[in-house]
Amino acid sequence: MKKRTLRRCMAEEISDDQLRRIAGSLQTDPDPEGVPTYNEKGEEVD
Amino acid sequence: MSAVLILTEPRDFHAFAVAEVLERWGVEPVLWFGADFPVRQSASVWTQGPDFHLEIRGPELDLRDRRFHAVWNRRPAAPALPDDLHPADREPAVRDCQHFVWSLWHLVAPSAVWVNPLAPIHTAILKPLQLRWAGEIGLEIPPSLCSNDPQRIREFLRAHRGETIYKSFYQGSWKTEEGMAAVFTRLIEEPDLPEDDMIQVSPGIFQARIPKDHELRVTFLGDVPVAARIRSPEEPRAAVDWRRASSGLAVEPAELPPDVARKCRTLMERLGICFAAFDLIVTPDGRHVFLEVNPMGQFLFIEHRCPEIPILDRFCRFLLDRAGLAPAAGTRTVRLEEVRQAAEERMRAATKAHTATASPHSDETLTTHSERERR
Repeated sequence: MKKRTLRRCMAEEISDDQLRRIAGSLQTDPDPEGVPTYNEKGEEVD
Repeated sequence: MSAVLILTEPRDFHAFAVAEVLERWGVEPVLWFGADFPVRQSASVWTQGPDFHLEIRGPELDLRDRRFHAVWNRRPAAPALPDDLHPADREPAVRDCQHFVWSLWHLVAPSAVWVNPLAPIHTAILKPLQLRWAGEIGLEIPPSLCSNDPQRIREFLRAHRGETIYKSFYQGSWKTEEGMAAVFTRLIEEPDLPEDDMIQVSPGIFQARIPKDHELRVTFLGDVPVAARIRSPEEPRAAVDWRRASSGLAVEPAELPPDVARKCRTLMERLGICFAAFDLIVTPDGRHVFLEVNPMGQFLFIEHRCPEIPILDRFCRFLLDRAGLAPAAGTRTVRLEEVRQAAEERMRAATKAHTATASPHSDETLTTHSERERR
């Protein structure tokens, strides 16, 4: 089994959506209205 | 018509908001989506006698011997290569693409004013260097250890038992077998450490935890600081790293003591940058402790949470002023809320027309074209 680095031990699993919300909140808004959300297939979803 | 080139990527709301303001002020914004190269963009440079020519073409981009007054070095994106490359060809192709793109950045607008300049960025982002220079300049810094030495790290953790924070050098997220992983600044104790050989391959930053009354995000536009107080201790999720809860944070206008501002300017001068976002802790007894400086820091969240700080307008004026340009006399202050809808429309169009970078919350990593397309 492959070993995990210190960085990986200190990291946390995060969903694409959580990631996008955090990134969006640093831009201006956690979930800007009108900006499309994509699923894992790249399809636009509500 | 005056023109400003913006190096960016399709999810970079800042680029679209600034572009919208510039256009309203009669300045042409040209957005260069770096991850479109090489699949959607082609570029050439050639000599013709004593003359040197450059051409970059792609969706919504036609740079042929264009002249720019300013370049906003906002999010210079790495090339994105297609999936169907032979695996053995990938690494050399990456190197060729990177070499060429880095050359293009240097060649595209050599006479323009760059915010920030290209060359100093590579050193300005280095956190151990920031800490050393900040300390030399007289900014207070936390007791810090940057290391991959297991013994030194364990000694540091014991010396600051229960009160040590861990930061990675590179704050971005990355793809794992389970999904995505992200590393935030967080408390660390000895039981958190992996085996020594895995500490050794993963250097990091360890700092004594500094008590906070509040934090400051100070965006320097040239010599001018725009200080925002972030009441992170009031939000449990934000107590160690306010980025985790930035949507729920209270942000207020603040003042930076002149002596601290002068030292920040000195650090910027030494790093060779004219735009910078400083993160500082203000302790309960009023000391200002330097954490880090980001030469490409985000700033619109400040105005979003505190409309009293019209930082979008101030940034745009700063950008033009550096290039010897200005909006027409008497142009009133533009507010983020006025341009938000138009900027979001620009961003929506860009996410369809251009190649995304690897992650909306990363510095730059090189992933494949189709991986980006899936996101």
